[in-house]
Amino acid sequence: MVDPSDSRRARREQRASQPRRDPDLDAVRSLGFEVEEPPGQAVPRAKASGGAAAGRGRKRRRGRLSPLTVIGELLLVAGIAVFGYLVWQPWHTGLAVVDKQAGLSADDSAKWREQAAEQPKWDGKVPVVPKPEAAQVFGVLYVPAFGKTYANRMAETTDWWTVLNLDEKGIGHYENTQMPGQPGNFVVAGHRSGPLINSFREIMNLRVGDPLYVETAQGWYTYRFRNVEYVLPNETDVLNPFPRLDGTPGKDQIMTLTTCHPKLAGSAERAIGYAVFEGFQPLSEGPPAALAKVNPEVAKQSKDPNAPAGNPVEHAASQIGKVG
Amino acid sequence: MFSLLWRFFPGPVWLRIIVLLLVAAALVFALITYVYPWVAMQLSTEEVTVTS
Repeated sequence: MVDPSDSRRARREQRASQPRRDPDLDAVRSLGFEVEEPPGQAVPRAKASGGAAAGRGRKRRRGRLSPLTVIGELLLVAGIAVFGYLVWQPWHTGLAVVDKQAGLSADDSAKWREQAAEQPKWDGKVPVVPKPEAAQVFGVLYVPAFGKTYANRMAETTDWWTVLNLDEKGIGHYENTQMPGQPGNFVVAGHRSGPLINSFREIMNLRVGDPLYVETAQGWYTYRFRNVEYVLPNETDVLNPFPRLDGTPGKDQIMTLTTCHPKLAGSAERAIGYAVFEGFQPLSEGPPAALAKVNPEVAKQSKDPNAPAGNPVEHAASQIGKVG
Repeated sequence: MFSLLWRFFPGPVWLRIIVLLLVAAALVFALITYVYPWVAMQLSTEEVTVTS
């Protein structure tokens, strides 16, 4: 049996003993020119250096590529690639996904406005959003406190891989809780950190009285933020029709946001944000004026930005939010 | 490896530099479109829901 390393060495020695020809010069020669090999190029590849390398013939001019060199260079490239991920991830979750959500939300919103134009005039009652199917997008959340142009689609269920982790959804509605317009608790979940989508990243930016707008095919539901509390992951009473209280639900309409806590450091706890329903406005009256004022994307929707934005239905619970 | 890459592409130095920069750009593009999103999927994401 021939040792492969022996045959390789033999080939190498054969190569090394031949004078090295410059391929560029060969190309010139093939065109019919007479070219001389520059000095130093025509000499055999390896310079003899004493008899040190006896059995191996002459040493090559270019040192043999050491596997350590290759490993080192691969490690360099891998290090740069890892650094690139560290740069890419905040760009992805902070800009790319946010832009994608804004675009999708604008599409949804345009679709709903078209549908609303064909429907009869609003009867003055706050409509209840019909229960969507699993993974179906039913609304868009606008929260100026999360960013002036923040818009994020909301879908049914809190399943990871059909709603919460997807770039195009990201906020999931707990299917056992109520919908907007219904007395009770409208509870949604979203990621606060992580590499995928961070719908509730800025939940700590909410201050008492900050508005949260939910746009659906039925209209605009405005909520006012009240408070944040930290709970353990098993404290499911935050999902109660009135959070934290047992008993028959009253007329209050609450919106609850659940996300992980602490931010960027695991999810040993949950951060829960509460907001109280303030008013409703049909799509035909355009977006809420306060939102159109801060969000230029939404302002484009209103037919006449200077027109007064209708009279939202006031709700008793809304008075709580007026503090801020 | 870098030396092999340098010798792999033919042509004068300026052309090699351009070609290698193009290769690097293609590599970055592949990382952003395919590799990084895949890595992001593998990294565990935090739990955000309350469950009993």
